[in-house]
Amino acid sequence: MERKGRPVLGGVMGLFFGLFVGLDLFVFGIVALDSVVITALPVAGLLAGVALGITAPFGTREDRGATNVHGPGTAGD
Amino acid sequence: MRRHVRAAACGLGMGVTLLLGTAGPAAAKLTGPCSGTGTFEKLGTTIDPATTDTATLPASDSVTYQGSIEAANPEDRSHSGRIELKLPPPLPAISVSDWGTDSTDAVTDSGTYDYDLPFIVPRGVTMNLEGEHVDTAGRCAGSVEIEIEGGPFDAPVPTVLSLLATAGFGVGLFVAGKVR
Repeated sequence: MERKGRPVLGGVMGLFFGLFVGLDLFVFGIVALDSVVITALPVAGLLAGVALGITAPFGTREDRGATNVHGPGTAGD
Repeated sequence: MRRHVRAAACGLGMGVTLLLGTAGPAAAKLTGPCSGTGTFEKLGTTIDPATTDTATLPASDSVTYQGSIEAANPEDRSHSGRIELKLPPPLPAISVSDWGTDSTDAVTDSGTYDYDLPFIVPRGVTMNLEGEHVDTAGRCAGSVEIEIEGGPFDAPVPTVLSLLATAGFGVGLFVAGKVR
């Protein structure tokens, strides 16, 4: 599959995003410390981040068109 | 003098171990030959692990404890122990107390233990207080669910840091999903 975004960055960011979303939910008393949500969110964040990095759904139509024509690495550079 | 220090350490260890049982039998798991009670000064309540189910504690207080350990041969025992408050990742566990000595004869003690939880401990949520006392006479282990008085913004540092970190990593996630 063609890589259009930054899957490694996405994975790292997604992991920590999930970790801190879990901490937010805990701090506000929405989920318990032993809830599976606390464990699942970082994993889900990691997978979602990699998927976001691969599919790169964010960006202007122009960016996406340029990527399709010239391939990755040429659109925003 | 050295003997008194050891006895005091032993007593403190046993007393603090007893506090593990403050959330009671429903939430607590307390095993081993230890027993006792703790009286929280601000809370105005004496908590016995045998009769108390849950505990909401102040962030700082003085606890008057008394406790004992059953020992068939109490002479020249060694012991060590610790108590930690487990926090959700990525926050580290908070060490409440630890103790140990290579030689003691004491099997009972009482005293006062002051605690003051650091600012990173969230308020108003249930957390696990875990600890153990490993003694020649036996091992006591405990796990208790406690709640610290207050709400998310009574200890704003973990709340605000967590929200800021979430926002920051959310931006990073967005950047990773942008066409490059």
